[in-house]
Amino acid sequence: MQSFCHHVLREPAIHARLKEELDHATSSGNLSSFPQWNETQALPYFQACLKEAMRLRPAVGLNITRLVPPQGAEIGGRRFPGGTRVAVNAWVLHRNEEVFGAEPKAFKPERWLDGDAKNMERYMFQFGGGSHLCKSVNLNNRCSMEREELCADIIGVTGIGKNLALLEMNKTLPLLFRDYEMELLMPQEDLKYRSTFFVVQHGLEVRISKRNKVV
Amino acid sequence: MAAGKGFHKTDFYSVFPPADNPDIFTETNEHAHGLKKRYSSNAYSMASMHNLSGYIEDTQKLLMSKLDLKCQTSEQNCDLGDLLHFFAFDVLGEIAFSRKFGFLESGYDIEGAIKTIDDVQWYDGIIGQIPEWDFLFRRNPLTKFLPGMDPSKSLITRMALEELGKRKKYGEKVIDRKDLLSQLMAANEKAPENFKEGDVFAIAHGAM
Repeated sequence: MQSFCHHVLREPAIHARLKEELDHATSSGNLSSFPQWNETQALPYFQACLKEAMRLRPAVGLNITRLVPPQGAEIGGRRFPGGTRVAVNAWVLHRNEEVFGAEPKAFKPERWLDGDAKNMERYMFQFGGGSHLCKSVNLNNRCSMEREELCADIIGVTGIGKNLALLEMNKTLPLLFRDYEMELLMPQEDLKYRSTFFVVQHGLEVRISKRNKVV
Repeated sequence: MAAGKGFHKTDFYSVFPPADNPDIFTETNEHAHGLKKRYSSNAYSMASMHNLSGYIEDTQKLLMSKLDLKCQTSEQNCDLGDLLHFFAFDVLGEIAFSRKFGFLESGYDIEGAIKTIDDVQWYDGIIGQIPEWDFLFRRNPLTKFLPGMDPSKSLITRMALEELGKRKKYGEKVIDRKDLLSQLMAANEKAPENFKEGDVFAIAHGAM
């Protein structure tokens, strides 16, 4: 939520377009005073901003390792002996230019609207992947047969941290940007972060005022 | 071979508490992980979450009242990062135990509880890469005599234990909704051998 706010507030054009979408949805009766999950799913620009924030600043910064099975495995064209510790780091994967297109380090919500969003979605790792969670939505189009069997084993494959995090962000961020005018106190500074297990951020200081309610 | 299959968890997880009763995240035995997840998945499902939507809104109202106060100051300055951090923890408290931790209300990190979590995560993240070192530091019997190295007294642990104790004593009826703790307790009642009371605490506490 912090990186969403920071990135959107830093780009006046993005901020304006987001407010326009929120105001329009509100005045046409499609966004309640407390935004609901279904309503915010129907806001394409907000969703693009949210995905872009999760892409650039995934919450987990650490390598969570797995053991290569005893017989060894080939990953990305390289052979790894059994027992090697391997991990996927979302901060690295999410900056892959081949997948996410030009300027992978820049906050560009448009890439989710103009690019191959479906393919990019397959590489999003902010909630992890596979049978160890926290992802559920894309399992079907991203897993192979064997993986599906594994997933089917876990009844309902319900994302654990994912659901709560998504629900909270989808309900809170539209509310914040629709009802408050915000401006970064130090727009030229990046949000500071420190990677522990999670990436802890600080420095999101804003000047805030109430926005006029749209009718 | 499909990605992920056969790639078991490493001993990275061994440094994460509680060591004696792993939660879903720290369980490295694939079968036990599956069982724990199966019995607790209902509590975490999107439908359960939607039922709790109203409680997120309660916390949102509190967040807005704090933001409104900032709007009324002459400078209108606001550390939005702090408020969002407090908000997220208070929502967790509501969803897990039907109680806010009180971070938003007080406007600061009570007892440094959030900082404690960050510090523990920092330790776990680094030592998890070299799990053997855990025995040198935290699992060394001498460390509990060092100030700040005994997590059992933290605000969040205390609250988890307090709620668990209260509900065991007075039964389910103390709350009128299905929070995470009540659903985990129900799963324990239904299948006490597969989903033990220790699992209830470990998962509710681990959620924090």
